[in-house]
Amino acid sequence: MDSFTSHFKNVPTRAALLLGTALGSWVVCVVYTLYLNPEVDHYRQGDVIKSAWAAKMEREQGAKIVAYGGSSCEFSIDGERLLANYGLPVVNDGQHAGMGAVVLTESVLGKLRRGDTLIVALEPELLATPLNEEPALAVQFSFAMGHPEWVLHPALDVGHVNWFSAAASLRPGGYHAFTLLGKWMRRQPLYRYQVRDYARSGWARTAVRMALTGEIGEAPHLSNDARILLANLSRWCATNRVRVVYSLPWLYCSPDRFHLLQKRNAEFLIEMIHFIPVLRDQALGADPVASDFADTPLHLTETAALRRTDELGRELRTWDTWTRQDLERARADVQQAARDP
Amino acid sequence: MNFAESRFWGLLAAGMAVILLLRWILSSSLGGRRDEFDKFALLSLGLFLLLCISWVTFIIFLVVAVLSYAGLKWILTHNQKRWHFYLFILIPLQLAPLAYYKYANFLVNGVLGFDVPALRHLFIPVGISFYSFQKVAFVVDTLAFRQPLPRFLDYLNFAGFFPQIVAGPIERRRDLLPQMEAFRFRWSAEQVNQGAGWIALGLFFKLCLADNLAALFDPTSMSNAYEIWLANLVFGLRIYYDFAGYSLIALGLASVLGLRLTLNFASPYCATSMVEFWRRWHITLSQWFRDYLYVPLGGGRVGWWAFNVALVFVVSGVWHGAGWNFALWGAIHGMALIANRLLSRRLKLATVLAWPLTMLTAFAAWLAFYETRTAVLGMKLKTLLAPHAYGRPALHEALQRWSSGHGFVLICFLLLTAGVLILEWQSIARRDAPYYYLCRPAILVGLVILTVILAPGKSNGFIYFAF
Repeated sequence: MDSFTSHFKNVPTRAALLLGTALGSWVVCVVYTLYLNPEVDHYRQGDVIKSAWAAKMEREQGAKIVAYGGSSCEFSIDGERLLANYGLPVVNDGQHAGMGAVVLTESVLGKLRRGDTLIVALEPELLATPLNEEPALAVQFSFAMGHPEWVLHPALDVGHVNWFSAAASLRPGGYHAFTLLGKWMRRQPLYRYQVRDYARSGWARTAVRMALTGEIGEAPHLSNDARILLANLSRWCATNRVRVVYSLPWLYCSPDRFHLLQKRNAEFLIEMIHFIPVLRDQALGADPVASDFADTPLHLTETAALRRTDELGRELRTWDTWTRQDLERARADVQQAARDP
Repeated sequence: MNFAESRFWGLLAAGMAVILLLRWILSSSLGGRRDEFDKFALLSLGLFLLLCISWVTFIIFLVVAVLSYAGLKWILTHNQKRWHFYLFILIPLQLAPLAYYKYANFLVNGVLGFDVPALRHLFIPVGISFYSFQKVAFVVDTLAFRQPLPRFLDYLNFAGFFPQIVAGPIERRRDLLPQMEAFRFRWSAEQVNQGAGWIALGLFFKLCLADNLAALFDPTSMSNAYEIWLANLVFGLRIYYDFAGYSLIALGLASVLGLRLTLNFASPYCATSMVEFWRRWHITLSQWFRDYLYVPLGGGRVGWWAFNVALVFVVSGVWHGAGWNFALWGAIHGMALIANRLLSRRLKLATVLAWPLTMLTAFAAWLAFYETRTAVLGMKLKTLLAPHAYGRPALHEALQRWSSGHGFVLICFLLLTAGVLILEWQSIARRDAPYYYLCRPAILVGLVILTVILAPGKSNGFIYFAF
């Protein structure tokens, strides 16, 4: 028989050793990623807190409101305050923006019940990029949460990952490994945020403060993938009788860029409103007060988060949403204001 | 054929599985035609992998391949005595697709100032610069050395061998064609071991070093000399490990199949002169330019040798990309080589001086390679040449910028790279064999572990695919 193996004079031991080493190293990496990675572990523990609050709201209030997005959402909405002051049973299901729009969305669907309200508070930048390549953190979080289907077979049919790519993502990577080494050498906490800083509703706070520049990036426009994601999410919510609305995160900008950011955000919301209604935030997501922000231009301090929470409470109570015409008028106004400061 | 993508390895494994299965099923009926089957299978595998990149890439490759063979056959059959004359027709035809896809936009819209929007969106078929040059060399060698026309199947395997088709090495007829003519799927443990070693080293270069350095490469600063130098350093290391990584994987894949390709890199950052640098960097391209342009122009034995050197390097620069910056990059290297040749007759520098001077030149020149915006390139060059740009405030600004965790990660990767370069240097100094120590089994095991742990989640395409 003229087979592959019959050609070998002897076994290629060195090749086998290298392959075995690669497989062995990968297994160690998988164990680390799923059970020891401080970042993944932080969000897994955070999810336990958020899920417990969601269950309590369901039990005690019936229908609930779930706000989800990246960390700008996590640091800005105090569910307990919304319940106490506005009677709104809000769960803050914000996670790490590095998980990407697809996994953030997929992970929230399982928490929704008929009659719930979903507040989409995804950062515009997350929706401005192609969603066909899931970030490694998205895959890691999905597997660590026991939901590989979020990336392998997403319910909203956007951002599939094949098994091989998913398996290859279950490793720390150089940036993570060396950052961790640096923190360990400087005796810093291995992850910047602490589980103890979570409020019961999932709201996160931090004592870390950093200098911010107030620069704003390119104007975000919904990518084709994001359009499909939003259209499918809207359809999913209609099918499952879940009310859905978009709420723009607050972003720090230097005072001279205030109107520019507002104009940029108004344009983004005009695209967004084509898919889902948008809550009317009169400031259009722009905040020129540096002291409102903690360690990034999207992480509000506790005090600012309470203001944002109150603003959200007002918007939700009155179901105050933009119309397309309003947004176009607002865009024209801020454009004018940008010209005549 | 992106060796850094899981898709490539999946397709290769699937292709090989089909071939081996067919070979097994047909083993009794093939009889004496097994060699033919193996050659046809290798060609099919190469074409299949090329087709998986894109239809356009596949078709253009076939057009250039068939045109080269048919043209050569016609010359050999009809006008062998006047082959010089017909070469002037055949070579431009061979290079026409390359000229159109790679240079039409630059020449028509950029240099001549027309506005043809259709040319702006042309994409460069993967590997066209490499296989076009290989086929030109094949035609010239066949005619110049009065070689017989090979069988079409062997020629196609020579022209379309999948590990090297998209980014070299640019192989010669004398090196690769005889191997293709004698090709059979034979696996020896020694070949597989050697190939696995090259593949492991290549993947380490690409996934661990080049891809991580790519994520840390920041070319945004225009006014801070320190940051520009850092960007040059990171880019210079990245492009070396990216391209050398590809070439080593190609070498390894060929070795597993029982074939031998040319080592395309030989630790160029260990060079102590620019002449030596080009003997170690992209060796097969340097040899191509030497044999098919420099020597026909008169080489180094004529009075106008400096012009020849300058011309060859400007053309080499433009081969890398259609843009003034690439021409400048080539010109800088050309001038450096001329200076090297002129000064080396009078001045013998000690290694401790020669090596940093060589590296300073090579890394300064990378600026013209990565900065494609001519105006920005000018500003950056001005910054590098201005003494006040090296003041304390600039240093303070650069240190501030890199003082975060990002800076620590960069330092770690630069240290790792330094370790690898030391092993490369030792391999040459002690063994005169590039990468000798990096290919030792114990070191390879360590490199595999590092690759698995440190390779970033997001893979970057190989830089040279764009050429």
